[in-house]
Amino acid sequence: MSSYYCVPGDRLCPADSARPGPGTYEKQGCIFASIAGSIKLNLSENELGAVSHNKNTSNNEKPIITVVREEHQLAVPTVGLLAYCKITHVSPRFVRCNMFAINNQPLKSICHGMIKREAIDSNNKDTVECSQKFRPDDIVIARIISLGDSNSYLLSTAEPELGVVAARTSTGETLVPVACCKMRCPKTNIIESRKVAKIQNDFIEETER
Amino acid sequence: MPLDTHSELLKSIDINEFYKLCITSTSKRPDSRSYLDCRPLKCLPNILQNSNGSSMIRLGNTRVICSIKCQLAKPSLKSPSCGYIQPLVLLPRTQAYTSFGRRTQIINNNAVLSQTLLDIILKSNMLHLDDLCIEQGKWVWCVSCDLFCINNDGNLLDCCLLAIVHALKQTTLYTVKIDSDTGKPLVYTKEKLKLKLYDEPLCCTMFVYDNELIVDPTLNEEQVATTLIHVVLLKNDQICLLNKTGGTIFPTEKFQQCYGLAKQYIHSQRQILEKANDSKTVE
Amino acid sequence: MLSNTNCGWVDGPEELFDPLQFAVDLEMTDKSSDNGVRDVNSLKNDDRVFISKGLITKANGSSYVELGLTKITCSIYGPHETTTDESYSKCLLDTSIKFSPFSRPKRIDPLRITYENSNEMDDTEEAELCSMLEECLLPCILLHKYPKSQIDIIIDIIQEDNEANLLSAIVLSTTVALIDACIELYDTVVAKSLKIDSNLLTVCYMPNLAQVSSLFFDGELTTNELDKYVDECIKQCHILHKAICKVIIDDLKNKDQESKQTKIA
Repeated sequence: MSSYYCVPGDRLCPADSARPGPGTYEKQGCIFASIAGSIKLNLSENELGAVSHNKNTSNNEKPIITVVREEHQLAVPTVGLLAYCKITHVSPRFVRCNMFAINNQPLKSICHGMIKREAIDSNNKDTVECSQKFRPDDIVIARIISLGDSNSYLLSTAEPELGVVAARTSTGETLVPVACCKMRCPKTNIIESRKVAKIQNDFIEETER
Repeated sequence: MPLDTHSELLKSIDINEFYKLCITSTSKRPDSRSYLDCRPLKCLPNILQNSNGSSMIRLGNTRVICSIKCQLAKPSLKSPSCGYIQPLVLLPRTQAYTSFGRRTQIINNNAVLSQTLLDIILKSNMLHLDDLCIEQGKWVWCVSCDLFCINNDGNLLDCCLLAIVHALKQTTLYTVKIDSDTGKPLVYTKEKLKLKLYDEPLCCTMFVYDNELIVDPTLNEEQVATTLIHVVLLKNDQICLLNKTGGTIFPTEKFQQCYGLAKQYIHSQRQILEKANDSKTVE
Repeated sequence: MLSNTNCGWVDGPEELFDPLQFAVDLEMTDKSSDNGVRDVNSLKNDDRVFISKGLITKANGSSYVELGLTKITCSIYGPHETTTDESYSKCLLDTSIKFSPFSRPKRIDPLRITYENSNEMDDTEEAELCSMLEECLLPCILLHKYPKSQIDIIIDIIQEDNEANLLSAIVLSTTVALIDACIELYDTVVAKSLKIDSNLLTVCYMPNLAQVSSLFFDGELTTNELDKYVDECIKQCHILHKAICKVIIDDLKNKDQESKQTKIA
């Protein structure tokens, strides 16, 4: 199977025969490529599944045309995406962190993020204490909820799957999660409190290998 | 998640952990070299048209361009028969170069490397400064060696020294006579003289990881390494400079091992340099 | 013997003289004919284009371009976050062009040109090139895709051959580096300059959309002549565009094949 390649600006197809996906843009009734890569055509049924069957409008029948570059994808912080971050600063009202990867793609340069006290946990929002949830140097998965102000993006961990994924004690021992808000040191059995992310299946596979 | 993005992620979280994992699981380095392998080395002579001599060195992903430019200058009062030689390293300007802190750091690194190179050039006697004299007390040559790093992927000192030696080998000087009446120099651009080199110091950089000596570090390895060791050897395998940065402690016997490794490594460097020079003259 | 103190990097000579200014056997007529010979060669060499990409490992995207004898590297950093407020909905471009010390026959003192502690441009020529490059690039980047970000474009001129090639090579290298960095573009911009009686006409052109992104000209020409020269530039731009396409697509094919091979292995 050979694929077709394009460079930015290549005309892919007329706008009425497909819908522009990532890596493309629409102009003057045509769809053009905006990055260099191989051209992929997805039928909307396969992609959107049952949802598109329900509202079977003419728009949804058109295939989505995308341009993908396998070996190099640009990670841009966008609202709704998951970010890996490292906590840098814990204060009573908020937590600061450095984002280093977005949707499993490492960023070339770190971005600054901030998790406000209200966005840490979905339960007991008012009684949350930041220092009981995060410590500096914890690795956290969080969702980008807003582009924030000029200094940092706003993040949230108010979902069961989000929170601390890796942490160490002050002596450098790797902590093991035991409950949704507790982590245990394997050597000393001291329990430390954290906002722990519910362990996902692929994460378990990753650690067992 | 696929394995390669996983290792990329680990690299960005904790480079030390990543390196440890790689060494312990495969006993090879992340770029699948064994401990004593160095990266492929390529030397290109005379790549610039505006210089008296130039070279480009490629060591893996590290690329350095060296340009030798000879200009006329007045000698200093202290040593009226000595010329000048000024190596100057320019590191790549990276993104954070706009922020003040990083920029001063880059300038600092530039100055440290430049000074080290100057020390090596002077101590190794590769170039007699008296040879650069045109007329005592009046005119001397000033040899500027501009080293421009296109990409820094570790082991810059080795590359810079290779580039300087390689470029100086190509360097030609114009013949200059002094007008006895006016004292002005007369430059004959058609008659060129080769700059005479008395020695060729080359450097071998190693680092220690887990009590293991590893040669030719990449940029990531330089971050991970606890101790860096530079050994500069002359043509007759005598040590010209030996530098061990702080970090781990080290039995003295290990220096013998370093010397042996450096000898081997520098020998292969010399062969590649010779070859690059020969192919040039044949053409 | 040697005294380290007075041949050091810190206190070098106070004044440096270019040896060519004292040349005795380099007569003026000789010099011009010398130049003439080189011009003929460079006319032939003008078509010689060499493009490679991805050589600067730390950058997001990078390229090395030779156009004739002009040699340029370009690296792209970002999009990364900025702290300035004006970039909130759009992306900012920050370009920095530097001549390397050995880019011209006369050595440029690098202590003066690089790492100046002030943010001001210290060289008007570099500043002019930067603004020209930005003007030519701004229409073709999908800036709204990168809110609150900044793209740094860092260009080093390793060797300059003639003025006519310079901007063209800069634009060429930047475009290749932007494509390498996977930044979304409306089109692959190319630029070409023509020298018309010591006046310079530069056209930055988007070949697929058939639009001119920017045009620089100083000098005197009738509109008919200008049309003719612009057409000539555009013709040359198409050739450059083909060269870029070939390099990029070959690179993509190679990478795909490599990844397939590793999958099989």
